[in-house]
Amino acid sequence: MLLLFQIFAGLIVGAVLGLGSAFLAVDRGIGFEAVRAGSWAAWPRAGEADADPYTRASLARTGDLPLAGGAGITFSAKTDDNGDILRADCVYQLSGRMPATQWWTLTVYDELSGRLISNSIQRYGINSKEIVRRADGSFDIVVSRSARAGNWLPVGKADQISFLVRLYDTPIATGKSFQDIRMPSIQRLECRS
Amino acid sequence: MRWVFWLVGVIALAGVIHISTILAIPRIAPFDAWSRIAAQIPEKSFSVLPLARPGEEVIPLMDPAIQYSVCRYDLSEGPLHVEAVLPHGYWSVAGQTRSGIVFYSVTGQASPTGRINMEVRNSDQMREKSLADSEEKDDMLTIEAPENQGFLVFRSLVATASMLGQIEDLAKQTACETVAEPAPAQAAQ
Repeated sequence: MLLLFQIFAGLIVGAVLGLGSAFLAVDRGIGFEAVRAGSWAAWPRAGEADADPYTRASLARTGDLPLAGGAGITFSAKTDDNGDILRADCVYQLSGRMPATQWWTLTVYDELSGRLISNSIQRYGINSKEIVRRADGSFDIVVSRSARAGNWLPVGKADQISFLVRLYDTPIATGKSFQDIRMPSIQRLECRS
Repeated sequence: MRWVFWLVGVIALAGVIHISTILAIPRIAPFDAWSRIAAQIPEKSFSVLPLARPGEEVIPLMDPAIQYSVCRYDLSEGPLHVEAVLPHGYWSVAGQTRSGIVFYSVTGQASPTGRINMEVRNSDQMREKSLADSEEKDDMLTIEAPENQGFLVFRSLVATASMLGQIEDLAKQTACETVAEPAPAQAAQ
């Protein structure tokens, strides 16, 4: 009787651990081939036939269209530079410059659904054509609920948010050289309490 | 002692379940890109997706600055022929299989003429083509798809609102259709 119970308990615990760890691994986006720069991460192999199984599983779960095979690369950030989760009710400043690329776009998403967030002026992203740069090519972008002067990206009502930077026609994607990639810093300025 | 065996058994079981789950997800995920596209877009037609706006995204994490168009195909009915004029600025065409593998992609930088004339074939159709017209010279780009089912994704960057009109006009000129294959016996002659 005890043996039967032990086998049964073992099956349950094993199943919970196995499924739970698989869910966490996919949900958190653990891929062995992640390229990290500050709080940004990219999975340049996503969509390729020989991508690691975790990267493939993450992609199948989110169901988005990967930029693969030299068409570009996508960097995402879920936290600021201090490691705190990005929240819609905080104000963030992105500073610096993008890696070498022909075009780039920065977009704010609802982190939980992967959807755009409705906002007062229906602007969901900013791109390399629209950005106002300093003489040395660097820029600041403020992401906040209320309007700001300069490069401003509005956020609507949401809980957790994420930033995605897509580099289109970038030598990084074609040459697969991921060393020394510098992405803009993400500083939290203030939060509504 | 018995608990040690129990623990080892549980860990081994958890490991097997973990690995098989990770490997199974790409095959069973109900909301992968293919399922969403297959549910909303007819096969063998060039479909311009609406620009991503909150609540109107066909696929999650779409770039609101990109005009996406999709052509879904099934090569078991014949090869796919695509002819498109592409806009100035960034564009790319990518081929993605039903299981999520991007097997081909080309961007404007690689094709400065801004025109695309290509065929997507499976491995059998590739062989038939090389038998049939090995002598023929054409500017047709032929690519081999690893699976019969899949879709092409066209991306055009709408960096400014004024670019949208041009991109929409060009999209109307795009053809994406299944080609009738000559009977295999004929092709071999």
